[in-house]
Amino acid sequence: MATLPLSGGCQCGAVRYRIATMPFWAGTCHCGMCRRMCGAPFITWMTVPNTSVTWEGVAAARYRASPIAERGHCPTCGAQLFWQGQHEPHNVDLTVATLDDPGAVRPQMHIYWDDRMPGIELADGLPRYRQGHRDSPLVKP
Amino acid sequence: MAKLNGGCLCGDVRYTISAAPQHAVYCHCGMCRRSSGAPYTGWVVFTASAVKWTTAEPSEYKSSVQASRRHCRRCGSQISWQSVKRPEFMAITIGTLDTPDAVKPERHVFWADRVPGLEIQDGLPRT
Repeated sequence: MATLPLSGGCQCGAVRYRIATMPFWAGTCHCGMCRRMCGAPFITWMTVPNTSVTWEGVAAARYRASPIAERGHCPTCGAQLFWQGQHEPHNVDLTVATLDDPGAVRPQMHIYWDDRMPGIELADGLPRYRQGHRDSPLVKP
Repeated sequence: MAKLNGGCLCGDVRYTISAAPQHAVYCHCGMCRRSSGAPYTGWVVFTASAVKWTTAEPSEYKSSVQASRRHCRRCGSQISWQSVKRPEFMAITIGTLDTPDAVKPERHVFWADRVPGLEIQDGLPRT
């Protein structure tokens, strides 16, 4: 069981954060926008209320990646840190990979599975949604 | 060999590569994890002189005494890794290729440092 607060930050250490409550959702996103931004096969996100997050150090650089969301990264090393949806301004998604203990939060599902990078073969048994988990069917195993 | 093209999410950084890849790997090291914000990264290595920035040059950050990484100033997309000892090569993030299916990673490196709970079963060697 993870100890609160959760703590994390970017690779160079300029941006740090603490999270006072356990995330109420965590999932791995395979969409093309996440892939481009991290340069990696996929991103695992965890959702918490904005009021649970304390940012420290340098302010993250914000980029409006689409009409529905802003993404935040470290201005020095570029590490992807958060996704802020406009429809849910009270919650924020942070990257599990930037936690000091990235094993503290485990994803519950895969989203945008149809968009995954070729060659990705996972056997974690988690549900796989074709697109978003609220508005798309599961992929049949 | 057709040229490979790619770039960041916002489009400020674009690149074109005019040589065949040397090799490609998935990396599970903690530095790749922190700098990308992703559980692990995919890299494809080229002769550095074959990589041309066609728009804005990415921001360079010396991530350790051994290497520097580049990312887009505007959107933060991770673009490249280059060793101080072997600057004649440059690793490019597979996730920023326009055609990531053009590259087939051969193995996983720093497997021991992987994120707990990650269950990959792609049959590739793990070192």
